Amino acid sequence: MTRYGLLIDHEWCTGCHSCEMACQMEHTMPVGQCGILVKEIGPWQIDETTWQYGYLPVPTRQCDLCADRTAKGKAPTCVQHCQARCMEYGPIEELSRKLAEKPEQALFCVA
Amino acid sequence: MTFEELQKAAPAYMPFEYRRFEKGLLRPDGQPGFNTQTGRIELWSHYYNNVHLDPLPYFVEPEPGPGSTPELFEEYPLILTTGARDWASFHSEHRQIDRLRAYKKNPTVEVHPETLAALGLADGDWVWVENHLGRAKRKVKSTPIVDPRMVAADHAWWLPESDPEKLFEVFDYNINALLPWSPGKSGFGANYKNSICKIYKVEEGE
Repeated sequence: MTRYGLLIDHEWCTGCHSCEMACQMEHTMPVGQCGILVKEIGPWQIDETTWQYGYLPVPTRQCDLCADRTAKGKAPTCVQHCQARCMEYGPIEELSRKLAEKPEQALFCVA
Repeated sequence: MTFEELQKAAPAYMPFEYRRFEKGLLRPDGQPGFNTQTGRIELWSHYYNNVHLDPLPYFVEPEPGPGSTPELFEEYPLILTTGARDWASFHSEHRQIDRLRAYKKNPTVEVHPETLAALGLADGDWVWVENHLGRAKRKVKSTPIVDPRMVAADHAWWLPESDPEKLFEVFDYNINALLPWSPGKSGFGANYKNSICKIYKVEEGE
């Protein structure tokens, strides 16, 4: 069976929470729950000129990849609303190839 | 138009034109050029000169500040900056929307860990941010992203969960209480949103 997931280029995630907000609203989840959660990593200093300060959105168990939306040919709402356009939805096979293209990406197999 | 018609038409912009200075669209006399006495971009400004202000740009130390008011700076030794944007709100909007308030529960002041250590304060402490003009309560957020010589307070806070008779406690949290209301001698522009301050712990019952 084909597995689907989210490919996230976390070099570009700005931590804006738009994906979280879109998900909560789309699925009317209670405040404090979400199908995707943005984690802040840093800030801390690595060396004189380099800092770690980034964000990584992580799908939770409540993520169903917006099955209702994808059935209509729409993107999952987090992908649709990402302001940095750093998220992609698709079959794992296809996303795996893109994952290999550059570092600072994460691929989540969701469904 | 209906919402459906708007959906089709969006995004929609007012009509605009480029290079209006070449087309005589900037000046009241319709001539090409800029809307100044000479028609040129003026680095030496006739307008300013005519109203007896310095016609050239100049720098003045911000007031109050370490350069302009060193005695005040001794009492209020931190540079205060305000108004940095947060994802969860816009100015005073959205404090009452649960989902957005969940992202930013409290008004904060960002302080460098070294500064906190020197002041005997810790992440999460409630402090008064204060100067000669006023003070406001903020919750300390320890972060290395601000310079140790400064603190960054957010703005436009009110607490929708508190007493409307007390204007939702806005006067306890209003960072503008620390700012002067003068835009400078020309009257143009706006007042500084930065100043100097000190921070100290809020006592029980304050």
